[in-house]
Amino acid sequence: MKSPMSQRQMIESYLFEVEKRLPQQQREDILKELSSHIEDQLEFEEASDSIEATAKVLEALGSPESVAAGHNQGRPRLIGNELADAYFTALYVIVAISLSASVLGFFLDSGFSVGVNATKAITQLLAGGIEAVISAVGTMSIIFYLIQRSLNQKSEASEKSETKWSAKVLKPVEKSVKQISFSEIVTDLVTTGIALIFLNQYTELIISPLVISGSEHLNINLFNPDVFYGFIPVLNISLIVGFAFALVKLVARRWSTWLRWGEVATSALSLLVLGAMALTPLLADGSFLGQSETAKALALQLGEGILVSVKISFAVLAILLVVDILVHLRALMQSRN
Amino acid sequence: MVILSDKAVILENLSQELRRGTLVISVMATLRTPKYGYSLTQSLGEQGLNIEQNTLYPLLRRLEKLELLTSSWELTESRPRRYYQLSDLGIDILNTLVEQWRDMNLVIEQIIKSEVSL
Repeated sequence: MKSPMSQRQMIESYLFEVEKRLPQQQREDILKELSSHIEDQLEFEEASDSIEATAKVLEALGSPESVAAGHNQGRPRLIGNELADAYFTALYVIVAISLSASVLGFFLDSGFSVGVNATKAITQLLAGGIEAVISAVGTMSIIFYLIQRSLNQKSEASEKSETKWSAKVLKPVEKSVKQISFSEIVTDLVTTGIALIFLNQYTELIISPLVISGSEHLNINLFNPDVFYGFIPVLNISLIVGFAFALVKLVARRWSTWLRWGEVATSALSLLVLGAMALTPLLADGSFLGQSETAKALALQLGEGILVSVKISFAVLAILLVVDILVHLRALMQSRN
Repeated sequence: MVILSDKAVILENLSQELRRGTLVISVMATLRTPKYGYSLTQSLGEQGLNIEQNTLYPLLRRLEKLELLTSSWELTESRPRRYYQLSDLGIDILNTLVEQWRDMNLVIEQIIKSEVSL
Protein backbone atom coordinates (compact mmCIF):
# COMPACT_ATOMS: atom_id res chain seq x y z
CA MET A 1 0.00 0.00 0.00
CA LYS A 2 1.31 3.43 -0.90
CA SER A 3 1.83 5.95 1.91
CA PRO A 4 -0.25 9.14 1.70
CA MET A 5 1.36 12.24 0.24
CA SER A 6 3.05 14.72 2.51
CA GLN A 7 2.26 18.43 2.38
CA ARG A 8 5.56 19.13 0.60
CA GLN A 9 4.95 16.38 -1.95
CA MET A 10 1.49 17.74 -2.72
CA ILE A 11 2.82 21.26 -3.35
CA GLU A 12 5.73 19.91 -5.42
CA SER A 13 3.37 17.81 -7.50
CA TYR A 14 1.04 20.79 -8.04
CA LEU A 15 3.94 23.04 -9.08
CA PHE A 16 5.28 20.33 -11.40
CA GLU A 17 1.89 20.05 -13.13
CA VAL A 18 1.74 23.82 -13.58
CA GLU A 19 5.39 24.04 -14.66
CA LYS A 20 5.10 21.79 -17.68
CA ARG A 21 2.30 23.94 -19.11
CA LEU A 22 4.06 27.29 -18.74
CA PRO A 23 6.00 29.32 -21.31
CA GLN A 24 9.61 28.23 -20.90
CA GLN A 25 11.13 31.70 -20.53
CA GLN A 26 8.89 32.66 -17.60
CA ARG A 27 8.71 29.24 -15.93
CA GLU A 28 11.14 29.86 -13.09
CA ASP A 29 9.76 33.27 -12.20
CA ILE A 30 6.11 32.21 -12.25
CA LEU A 31 6.77 29.09 -10.17
CA LYS A 32 8.78 31.00 -7.58
CA GLU A 33 5.96 33.49 -7.20
CA LEU A 34 3.28 30.80 -7.14
CA SER A 35 5.18 28.83 -4.51
CA SER A 36 5.55 31.97 -2.37
CA HIS A 37 1.80 32.68 -2.81
CA ILE A 38 0.89 29.15 -1.65
CA GLU A 39 3.11 29.47 1.43
CA ASP A 40 1.60 32.87 2.24
CA GLN A 41 -1.92 31.56 1.89
CA LEU A 42 -1.12 28.49 4.00
CA GLU A 43 -0.04 30.70 6.89
CA PHE A 44 -3.60 32.01 7.16
CA GLU A 45 -5.13 28.54 7.27
CA GLU A 46 -5.92 26.70 10.46
CA ALA A 47 -3.62 23.72 10.96
CA SER A 48 -1.46 25.16 8.18
CA ASP A 49 0.91 22.18 8.18
CA SER A 50 -1.89 19.69 7.51
CA ILE A 51 -2.51 18.00 4.18
CA GLU A 52 -6.17 19.13 4.32
CA ALA A 53 -5.15 22.80 4.58
CA THR A 54 -2.77 22.36 1.65
CA ALA A 55 -5.45 20.70 -0.46
CA LYS A 56 -7.86 23.52 0.40
CA VAL A 57 -5.35 26.20 -0.67
CA LEU A 58 -4.50 24.41 -3.92
CA GLU A 59 -8.15 23.78 -4.74
CA ALA A 60 -8.88 27.47 -4.17
CA LEU A 61 -6.14 28.30 -6.67
CA GLY A 62 -7.72 25.98 -9.22
CA SER A 63 -6.44 23.15 -11.38
CA PRO A 64 -2.85 23.36 -12.67
CA GLU A 65 -4.31 23.63 -16.19
CA SER A 66 -6.34 26.72 -15.29
CA VAL A 67 -3.42 28.36 -13.46
CA ALA A 68 -1.14 27.82 -16.45
CA ALA A 69 -3.88 28.91 -18.86
CA GLY A 70 -4.02 32.27 -17.06
CA HIS A 71 -0.40 32.87 -18.05
CA ASN A 72 -0.91 31.68 -21.60
CA GLN A 73 -3.73 34.01 -22.54
CA GLY A 74 -3.38 35.79 -25.86
CA ARG A 75 -1.01 33.11 -27.17
CA PRO A 76 -3.01 31.06 -29.60
CA ARG A 77 -0.60 28.39 -30.74
CA LEU A 78 -0.90 25.17 -32.65
CA ILE A 79 1.57 23.63 -30.23
CA GLY A 80 1.25 24.69 -26.60
CA ASN A 81 3.85 25.22 -23.90
CA GLU A 82 3.62 21.69 -22.52
CA LEU A 83 4.83 20.35 -25.87
CA ALA A 84 6.97 23.25 -27.09
CA ASP A 85 10.30 22.02 -25.66
CA ALA A 86 9.73 18.48 -26.92
CA TYR A 87 8.60 19.78 -30.32
CA PHE A 88 11.66 21.95 -30.91
CA THR A 89 14.10 19.28 -29.67
CA ALA A 90 12.53 16.66 -31.92
CA LEU A 91 12.43 19.15 -34.78
CA TYR A 92 16.14 20.05 -34.54
CA VAL A 93 17.12 16.37 -34.34
CA ILE A 94 14.94 15.32 -37.27
CA VAL A 95 15.91 18.28 -39.46
CA ALA A 96 19.61 17.57 -38.78
CA ILE A 97 19.19 13.87 -39.61
CA SER A 98 17.13 14.52 -42.75
CA LEU A 99 19.55 17.15 -43.99
CA SER A 100 22.60 14.94 -43.36
CA ALA A 101 20.89 11.96 -45.00
CA SER A 102 19.96 14.10 -47.98
CA VAL A 103 23.54 15.40 -48.44
CA LEU A 104 25.05 11.95 -47.91
CA GLY A 105 22.50 10.40 -50.24
CA PHE A 106 23.39 12.92 -52.93
CA PHE A 107 27.08 12.04 -52.75
CA LEU A 108 26.38 8.30 -52.60
CA ASP A 109 24.11 8.52 -55.65
CA SER A 110 26.66 10.55 -57.58
CA GLY A 111 29.55 8.30 -56.52
CA PHE A 112 31.28 11.24 -54.75
CA SER A 113 31.86 12.93 -58.06
CA VAL A 114 30.06 16.16 -58.90
CA GLY A 115 30.96 15.83 -62.57
CA VAL A 116 31.15 18.52 -65.21
CA ASN A 117 27.86 20.23 -64.51
CA ALA A 118 28.62 21.63 -61.06
CA THR A 119 25.77 24.19 -61.10
CA LYS A 120 23.21 21.46 -61.78
CA ALA A 121 24.70 19.30 -59.01
CA ILE A 122 24.59 22.13 -56.46
CA THR A 123 20.98 22.94 -57.43
CA GLN A 124 20.07 19.27 -56.96
CA LEU A 125 21.81 19.21 -53.59
CA LEU A 126 20.02 22.37 -52.43
CA ALA A 127 16.66 21.13 -53.69
CA GLY A 128 17.17 17.81 -51.90
CA GLY A 129 18.12 19.62 -48.69
CA ILE A 130 15.12 21.95 -48.81
CA GLU A 131 12.78 19.04 -49.55
CA ALA A 132 14.21 17.11 -46.59
CA VAL A 133 13.79 20.07 -44.22
CA ILE A 134 10.22 20.84 -45.35
CA SER A 135 9.25 17.20 -45.07
CA ALA A 136 10.81 16.88 -41.57
CA VAL A 137 9.19 20.11 -40.30
CA GLY A 138 5.83 19.13 -41.80
CA THR A 139 5.84 15.62 -40.35
CA MET A 140 6.92 16.73 -36.87
CA SER A 141 4.40 19.60 -36.83
CA ILE A 142 1.53 17.30 -37.81
CA ILE A 143 2.50 14.69 -35.16
CA PHE A 144 2.77 17.30 -32.39
CA TYR A 145 -0.38 19.13 -33.51
CA LEU A 146 -2.33 15.87 -33.22
CA ILE A 147 -0.89 15.22 -29.72
CA GLN A 148 -1.74 18.81 -28.74
CA ARG A 149 -5.27 18.45 -30.05
CA SER A 150 -5.85 15.34 -28.00
CA LEU A 151 -4.44 17.10 -24.89
CA ASN A 152 -6.70 20.12 -25.53
CA GLN A 153 -9.75 17.88 -25.90
CA LYS A 154 -8.92 16.22 -22.58
CA SER A 155 -8.54 19.54 -20.73
CA GLU A 156 -11.70 20.96 -22.38
CA ALA A 157 -13.60 17.88 -21.23
CA SER A 158 -12.33 18.32 -17.66
CA GLU A 159 -13.19 22.06 -17.74
CA LYS A 160 -16.72 21.28 -18.85
CA SER A 161 -17.22 18.63 -16.21
CA GLU A 162 -19.36 19.80 -13.31
CA THR A 163 -17.08 18.43 -10.60
CA LYS A 164 -14.58 20.86 -9.09
CA TRP A 165 -10.88 20.08 -9.42
CA SER A 166 -9.60 18.19 -6.41
CA ALA A 167 -6.04 18.10 -5.07
CA LYS A 168 -6.56 14.39 -4.45
CA VAL A 169 -5.81 13.70 -8.13
CA LEU A 170 -2.22 14.85 -7.65
CA LYS A 171 0.39 12.11 -7.58
CA PRO A 172 3.74 12.46 -5.81
CA VAL A 173 6.63 13.36 -8.08
CA GLU A 174 9.01 10.44 -7.67
CA LYS A 175 12.34 11.84 -6.48
CA SER A 176 14.62 8.90 -7.14
CA VAL A 177 13.56 8.14 -10.69
CA LYS A 178 12.13 11.35 -11.96
CA GLN A 179 14.19 12.80 -14.79
CA ILE A 180 14.68 11.01 -18.09
CA SER A 181 18.17 11.75 -19.33
CA PHE A 182 17.95 14.25 -22.18
CA SER A 183 20.94 12.72 -23.96
CA GLU A 184 19.27 9.29 -23.78
CA ILE A 185 16.16 10.63 -25.53
CA VAL A 186 18.18 12.45 -28.19
CA THR A 187 20.27 9.31 -28.78
CA ASP A 188 17.08 7.27 -29.22
CA LEU A 189 15.65 9.84 -31.64
CA VAL A 190 18.88 10.09 -33.65
CA THR A 191 19.54 6.35 -33.91
CA THR A 192 15.97 5.36 -34.79
CA GLY A 193 15.62 8.36 -37.14
CA ILE A 194 18.85 7.58 -39.01
CA ALA A 195 18.00 3.87 -39.15
CA LEU A 196 14.51 4.62 -40.55
CA ILE A 197 15.82 6.95 -43.25
CA PHE A 198 18.66 4.67 -44.33
CA LEU A 199 16.59 1.50 -44.18
CA ASN A 200 13.95 2.94 -46.49
CA GLN A 201 15.89 5.32 -48.70
CA TYR A 202 19.19 3.52 -49.08
CA THR A 203 18.17 -0.13 -48.78
CA GLU A 204 20.36 -1.23 -51.66
CA LEU A 205 23.38 0.49 -50.15
CA ILE A 206 22.87 -1.43 -46.89
CA ILE A 207 22.53 -4.73 -48.75
CA SER A 208 25.47 -4.00 -51.07
CA PRO A 209 27.72 -1.23 -49.67
CA LEU A 210 29.72 0.68 -52.24
CA VAL A 211 33.48 0.26 -52.00
CA ILE A 212 35.80 2.46 -54.03
CA SER A 213 39.04 0.81 -55.03
CA GLY A 214 41.22 3.06 -57.14
CA SER A 215 39.13 4.00 -60.14
CA GLU A 216 36.76 1.07 -59.63
CA HIS A 217 33.46 1.23 -57.74
CA LEU A 218 32.53 -2.13 -56.23
CA ASN A 219 29.32 -3.24 -54.55
CA ILE A 220 29.91 -5.81 -51.82
CA ASN A 221 26.97 -8.13 -51.33
CA LEU A 222 26.73 -7.95 -47.55
CA PHE A 223 23.19 -9.22 -46.97
CA ASN A 224 21.03 -11.73 -48.80
CA PRO A 225 18.53 -9.40 -50.56
CA ASP A 226 15.55 -11.83 -50.49
CA VAL A 227 15.87 -12.41 -46.76
CA PHE A 228 16.72 -8.78 -45.96
CA TYR A 229 13.71 -7.36 -47.82
CA GLY A 230 11.50 -9.77 -45.84
CA PHE A 231 12.71 -8.14 -42.62
CA ILE A 232 12.09 -4.54 -43.71
CA PRO A 233 8.42 -4.31 -42.55
CA VAL A 234 9.29 -5.77 -39.13
CA LEU A 235 12.33 -3.50 -38.80
CA ASN A 236 10.20 -0.50 -39.77
CA ILE A 237 7.58 -1.34 -37.14
CA SER A 238 10.26 -1.78 -34.49
CA LEU A 239 11.98 1.51 -35.43
CA ILE A 240 8.74 3.51 -35.68
CA VAL A 241 7.68 2.19 -32.26
CA GLY A 242 11.13 3.14 -30.90
CA PHE A 243 10.98 6.62 -32.46
CA ALA A 244 7.41 7.26 -31.26
CA PHE A 245 8.34 6.07 -27.78
CA ALA A 246 11.33 8.45 -27.71
CA LEU A 247 8.90 11.30 -28.53
CA VAL A 248 6.63 10.17 -25.68
CA LYS A 249 9.62 10.26 -23.31
CA LEU A 250 10.53 13.71 -24.59
CA VAL A 251 7.03 14.96 -23.76
CA ALA A 252 6.79 13.14 -20.39
CA ARG A 253 10.31 14.13 -19.24
CA ARG A 254 10.06 11.95 -16.13
CA TRP A 255 9.95 8.21 -15.64
CA SER A 256 6.66 6.71 -14.57
CA THR A 257 5.67 3.07 -14.11
CA TRP A 258 3.95 2.79 -17.47
CA LEU A 259 6.85 4.53 -19.23
CA ARG A 260 9.24 1.98 -17.76
CA TRP A 261 7.02 -0.86 -18.91
CA GLY A 262 6.92 0.80 -22.32
CA GLU A 263 10.72 0.95 -22.37
CA VAL A 264 10.92 -2.73 -21.46
CA ALA A 265 8.39 -3.60 -24.19
CA THR A 266 10.13 -1.57 -26.94
CA SER A 267 13.56 -2.97 -26.01
CA ALA A 268 12.12 -6.50 -25.95
CA LEU A 269 10.58 -5.91 -29.40
CA SER A 270 13.94 -4.73 -30.78
CA LEU A 271 15.68 -7.71 -29.17
CA LEU A 272 13.15 -10.06 -30.71
CA VAL A 273 13.66 -8.58 -34.19
CA LEU A 274 17.43 -8.64 -33.74
CA GLY A 275 17.31 -12.25 -32.52
CA ALA A 276 15.16 -13.30 -35.49
CA MET A 277 17.60 -11.58 -37.86
CA ALA A 278 20.62 -13.18 -36.20
CA LEU A 279 19.09 -16.65 -36.39
CA THR A 280 18.21 -16.30 -40.09
CA PRO A 281 20.84 -16.78 -42.82
CA LEU A 282 20.75 -13.07 -43.47
CA LEU A 283 24.32 -12.49 -44.46
CA ALA A 284 25.38 -13.06 -48.07
CA ASP A 285 27.92 -15.68 -49.04
CA GLY A 286 30.51 -13.19 -50.20
CA SER A 287 29.89 -12.86 -53.94
CA PHE A 288 31.19 -9.58 -55.29
CA LEU A 289 30.49 -7.47 -58.30
CA GLY A 290 34.00 -6.41 -59.20
CA GLN A 291 35.64 -5.94 -62.50
CA SER A 292 39.24 -6.92 -61.80
CA GLU A 293 40.79 -9.73 -59.73
CA THR A 294 42.73 -7.22 -57.56
CA ALA A 295 39.55 -5.31 -56.85
CA LYS A 296 37.72 -8.58 -56.06
CA ALA A 297 40.44 -9.58 -53.58
CA LEU A 298 40.28 -6.16 -51.94
CA ALA A 299 36.49 -6.29 -51.81
CA LEU A 300 36.69 -9.78 -50.27
CA GLN A 301 38.96 -8.47 -47.53
CA LEU A 302 36.76 -5.43 -46.88
CA GLY A 303 33.66 -7.58 -47.05
CA GLU A 304 34.97 -9.93 -44.37
CA GLY A 305 35.81 -6.92 -42.20
CA ILE A 306 32.32 -5.50 -42.64
CA LEU A 307 30.74 -8.90 -41.88
CA VAL A 308 32.68 -9.15 -38.62
CA SER A 309 31.65 -5.56 -37.74
CA VAL A 310 28.00 -6.40 -38.44
CA LYS A 311 28.19 -9.48 -36.19
CA ILE A 312 29.88 -7.50 -33.39
CA SER A 313 27.30 -4.69 -33.75
CA PHE A 314 24.48 -7.24 -33.46
CA ALA A 315 26.03 -8.68 -30.30
CA VAL A 316 26.70 -5.25 -28.72
CA LEU A 317 23.18 -4.08 -29.54
CA ALA A 318 21.70 -7.24 -28.03
CA ILE A 319 23.73 -6.75 -24.82
CA LEU A 320 22.67 -3.08 -24.59
CA LEU A 321 19.01 -4.02 -25.04
CA VAL A 322 19.22 -6.74 -22.37
CA VAL A 323 20.92 -4.29 -19.97
CA ASP A 324 18.22 -1.68 -20.70
CA ILE A 325 15.46 -4.21 -19.98
CA LEU A 326 17.12 -5.32 -16.74
CA VAL A 327 17.69 -1.74 -15.52
CA HIS A 328 14.03 -0.84 -16.00
CA LEU A 329 12.73 -4.09 -14.53
CA ARG A 330 14.90 -3.47 -11.46
CA ALA A 331 13.53 0.08 -11.13
CA LEU A 332 9.98 -1.28 -11.43
CA MET A 333 10.64 -3.84 -8.70
CA GLN A 334 12.12 -1.13 -6.46
CA SER A 335 9.14 1.15 -6.95
CA ARG A 336 6.82 -1.72 -5.96
CA ASN A 337 8.73 -2.24 -2.74
CA MET B 1 -37.38 31.06 -23.16
CA VAL B 2 -34.29 31.56 -20.99
CA ILE B 3 -34.25 29.02 -18.16
CA LEU B 4 -32.86 29.82 -14.74
CA SER B 5 -29.46 28.16 -15.17
CA ASP B 6 -28.95 30.00 -18.48
CA LYS B 7 -29.85 33.27 -16.79
CA ALA B 8 -27.22 32.62 -14.11
CA VAL B 9 -24.61 31.89 -16.78
CA ILE B 10 -25.48 35.02 -18.75
CA LEU B 11 -25.32 37.13 -15.59
CA GLU B 12 -22.01 35.58 -14.58
CA ASN B 13 -20.48 36.26 -17.99
CA LEU B 14 -21.68 39.86 -18.11
CA SER B 15 -20.53 40.50 -14.52
CA GLN B 16 -17.11 39.14 -15.39
CA GLU B 17 -16.97 41.43 -18.40
CA LEU B 18 -17.93 44.39 -16.24
CA ARG B 19 -15.32 43.51 -13.60
CA ARG B 20 -12.53 42.91 -16.08
CA GLY B 21 -12.17 46.56 -16.99
CA THR B 22 -12.34 47.71 -13.39
CA LEU B 23 -9.67 45.29 -12.19
CA VAL B 24 -6.86 47.09 -14.01
CA ILE B 25 -7.66 50.43 -12.46
CA SER B 26 -8.16 48.86 -8.99
CA VAL B 27 -4.87 46.95 -9.10
CA MET B 28 -2.97 49.97 -10.37
CA ALA B 29 -4.48 52.23 -7.71
CA THR B 30 -3.54 49.76 -4.97
CA LEU B 31 0.04 49.57 -6.23
CA ARG B 32 0.86 53.19 -5.51
CA THR B 33 2.71 51.60 -2.57
CA PRO B 34 4.79 48.39 -3.12
CA LYS B 35 2.94 45.13 -2.55
CA TYR B 36 3.54 41.44 -3.29
CA GLY B 37 0.91 39.24 -4.90
CA TYR B 38 -0.68 37.81 -1.79
CA SER B 39 -0.74 41.15 0.10
CA LEU B 40 -2.35 42.72 -2.95
CA THR B 41 -5.19 40.16 -3.01
CA GLN B 42 -5.67 40.73 0.74
CA SER B 43 -5.72 44.47 0.32
CA LEU B 44 -8.23 44.34 -2.54
CA GLY B 45 -10.30 41.73 -0.70
CA GLU B 46 -10.54 43.93 2.42
CA GLN B 47 -11.99 46.67 0.24
CA GLY B 48 -14.55 44.29 -1.22
CA LEU B 49 -12.87 43.31 -4.48
CA ASN B 50 -12.03 39.62 -4.63
CA ILE B 51 -9.59 38.73 -7.33
CA GLU B 52 -8.46 35.25 -8.23
CA GLN B 53 -4.80 34.38 -8.32
CA ASN B 54 -5.29 33.11 -11.90
CA THR B 55 -6.37 36.58 -12.93
CA LEU B 56 -4.05 38.64 -10.74
CA TYR B 57 -0.59 37.33 -11.64
CA PRO B 58 -1.07 37.33 -15.43
CA LEU B 59 -2.48 40.87 -15.09
CA LEU B 60 0.57 41.98 -13.07
CA ARG B 61 2.86 40.53 -15.72
CA ARG B 62 0.95 42.27 -18.49
CA LEU B 63 1.13 45.62 -16.71
CA GLU B 64 4.82 45.12 -16.05
CA LYS B 65 5.42 44.33 -19.70
CA LEU B 66 3.69 47.60 -20.57
CA GLU B 67 6.13 49.27 -18.13
CA LEU B 68 3.27 50.51 -15.96
CA LEU B 69 4.67 48.52 -13.02
CA THR B 70 8.13 47.71 -11.78
CA SER B 71 8.93 44.62 -9.74
CA SER B 72 11.77 43.35 -7.60
CA TRP B 73 12.39 40.22 -5.53
CA GLU B 74 12.69 40.81 -1.80
CA LEU B 75 14.85 38.09 -0.26
CA THR B 76 15.16 39.31 3.32
CA GLU B 77 11.76 38.04 4.52
CA SER B 78 10.71 34.53 5.56
CA ARG B 79 10.44 33.58 1.87
CA PRO B 80 11.28 35.30 -1.41
CA ARG B 81 8.55 37.74 -2.41
CA ARG B 82 8.12 39.73 -5.55
CA TYR B 83 7.07 43.29 -4.87
CA TYR B 84 5.23 45.34 -7.48
CA GLN B 85 4.91 49.09 -7.62
CA LEU B 86 3.48 51.61 -10.04
CA SER B 87 6.13 53.16 -12.31
CA ASP B 88 6.17 56.86 -13.26
CA LEU B 89 4.47 55.99 -16.51
CA GLY B 90 1.96 53.89 -14.53
CA ILE B 91 1.14 56.83 -12.23
CA ASP B 92 0.60 59.06 -15.23
CA ILE B 93 -1.64 56.54 -16.98
CA LEU B 94 -3.54 55.77 -13.77
CA ASN B 95 -4.33 59.47 -13.22
CA THR B 96 -5.78 59.70 -16.72
CA LEU B 97 -7.71 56.46 -16.26
CA VAL B 98 -9.17 57.70 -12.98
CA GLU B 99 -10.38 60.89 -14.69
CA GLN B 100 -11.93 58.85 -17.50
CA TRP B 101 -13.50 56.50 -14.95
CA ARG B 102 -15.12 59.39 -13.08
CA ASP B 103 -16.45 60.94 -16.31
CA MET B 104 -17.76 57.58 -17.47
CA ASN B 105 -19.34 56.95 -14.11
CA LEU B 106 -21.23 60.25 -14.32
CA VAL B 107 -22.44 59.51 -17.82
CA ILE B 108 -23.59 56.00 -16.92
CA GLU B 109 -25.34 57.25 -13.77
CA GLN B 110 -27.19 59.86 -15.85
CA ILE B 111 -28.20 57.26 -18.44
CA ILE B 112 -29.45 54.87 -15.78
CA LYS B 113 -31.35 57.63 -13.95
CA SER B 114 -33.03 58.98 -17.08
CA GLU B 115 -34.01 55.48 -18.27
CA VAL B 116 -35.37 54.47 -14.84
CA SER B 117 -37.45 57.68 -14.53
CA LEU B 118 -39.18 57.00 -17.88
